Amino acid sequence: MTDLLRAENLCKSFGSIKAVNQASITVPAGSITGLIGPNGAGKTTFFNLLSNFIVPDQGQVMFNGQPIQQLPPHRIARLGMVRTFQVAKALSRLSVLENMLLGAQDQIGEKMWQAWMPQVAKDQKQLKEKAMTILTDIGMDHKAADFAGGLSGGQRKLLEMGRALMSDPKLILLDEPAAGVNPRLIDDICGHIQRWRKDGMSFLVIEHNMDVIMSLCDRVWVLAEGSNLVDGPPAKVQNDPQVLEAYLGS
Amino acid sequence: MSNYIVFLTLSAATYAIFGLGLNLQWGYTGLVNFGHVAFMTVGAYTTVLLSLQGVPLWIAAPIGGTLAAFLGLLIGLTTLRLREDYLGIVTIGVSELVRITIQSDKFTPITGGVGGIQRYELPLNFAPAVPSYLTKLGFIGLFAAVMGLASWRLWVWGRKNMNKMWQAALGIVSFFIIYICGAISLYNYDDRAGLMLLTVTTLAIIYVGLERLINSPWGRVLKAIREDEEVPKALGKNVFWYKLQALMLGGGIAGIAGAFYAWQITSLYPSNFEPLLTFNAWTIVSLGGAGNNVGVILGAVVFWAYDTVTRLDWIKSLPFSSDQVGAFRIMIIGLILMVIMLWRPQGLLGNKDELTLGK
Repeated sequence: MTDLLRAENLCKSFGSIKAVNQASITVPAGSITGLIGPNGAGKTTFFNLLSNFIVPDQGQVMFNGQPIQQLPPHRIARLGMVRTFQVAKALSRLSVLENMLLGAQDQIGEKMWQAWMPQVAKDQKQLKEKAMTILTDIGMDHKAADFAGGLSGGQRKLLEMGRALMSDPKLILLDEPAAGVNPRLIDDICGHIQRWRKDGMSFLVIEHNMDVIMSLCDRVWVLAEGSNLVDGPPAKVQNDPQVLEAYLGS
Repeated sequence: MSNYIVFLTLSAATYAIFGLGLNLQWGYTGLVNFGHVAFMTVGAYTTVLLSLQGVPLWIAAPIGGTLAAFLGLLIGLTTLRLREDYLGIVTIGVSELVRITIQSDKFTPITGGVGGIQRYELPLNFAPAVPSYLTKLGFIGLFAAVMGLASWRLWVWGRKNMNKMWQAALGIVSFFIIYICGAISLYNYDDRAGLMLLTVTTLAIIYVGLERLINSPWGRVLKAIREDEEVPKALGKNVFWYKLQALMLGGGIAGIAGAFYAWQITSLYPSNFEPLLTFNAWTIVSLGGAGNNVGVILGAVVFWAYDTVTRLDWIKSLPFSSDQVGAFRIMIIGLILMVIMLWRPQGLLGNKDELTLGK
């Protein structure tokens, strides 16, 4: 498999604290790759560096064979790498459907001078159909007209994934998709992720829930104190003495 | 009576245009602009100074709006990357900077400085001649069309929300009263009546245009930025560019409002552009409901109705000196604002459900 995303030697310091120190990762195309590590290991910061929400001090990020560490976050998203957030960000005062529609790329009418054009209505109608298909898929079609601010934590996670899906991404970065979600819904979320992978999408997943990591991931990378500890298939990583030590302390 | 209504309509419409600009920036995009009057100042002075050079008004006013938008570009390029509260501080500074520059000695030869500008061209001013019957009929017809369209839209809205039918009816009745008084004034033509027609028509055009924009995908991105700008950024939208557009368009609209303001007050002094005007715009937007263009227009009407009523003769029968009354009038606005923030934080027309939603 070719590497869809390859990050090498990323570093980021906040003052004297090295949050991420020489961390690397590769995500092969079509894979579900896991990123785990104890709290404070720098996983979320690492995500922010990959998507350039925080500019790395040094290091290189290649996406789909193109260097992206110089690009602003929205350009990276347009290339097909979309992220979600650890605390799911629903746009409260927009409806669930509007949240979904925001995800679509290259919409006619997103430019001010195109907003009056008659084609906008037709384009929006198609996008609404697409959004409803995805919402039905994730079991949220009955919520389409509600304000997103009224959703539960788990539904917000689902909405974020659906919204990311609207942009037809190549790679979705999921930051703790199962955190604070009830076990039933976790199973649903895992099922959706596996199905979307079959449709050709790749995932990079931060997660603390080991069951989720074990059942989803092809390969797991462990981060501790901002640096790579080990990486390998989930079963191997789970029993690695170094990983156990990092989690449990010595 | 009809003179009062014409004055009220003229003032409310000018401030409604002014408030719509702020509503685009704050109500829809979440940009904290505490210097809205700066855009109005640029619009007003540009229009008047150009018209003194012989530029026709219908060209001068749009240039005023364009320059105001350009001011938005300058402010935006330098500050939009900062956090929103910093934008608020910078905009206050800019508005005072603009006003003080205009009244400074250095620019007095151009701007008139503290002494102001007293005589300039007003639109639709035929004096000392009188417009022909046909022209007057045309004006009254245009006014009927604008007010009729507004009433019709209210009617459609009332039909959709049956529980709000009485509000729609109230609106339609007031439109009708405004129309009758306006038509009488247009028939006994003076330039105030003409200016009122022009202002109301412009307000209608700007309102319709903004509604179209706000309900487009473009408007959706603005609202997303207001809610949480990280999300549109993560979904491939150039947040900075959208904010800049909102600041410029809102500023340009305020610039147009500036032209009408200048024509309304008929003589221009830097003291007409104190930060109080920004405060008034915020009052109007909060009163009607941020993120609601109809609310802004209603807010402007309520604001000016209050202002007019408290200037009538009955106020003299109260046992207060005129200074005290003047102070009271402003205090009561503050009080009304506080009461609204406590009991109806979403404004007169805002949707309470929206506000009670968490982030």
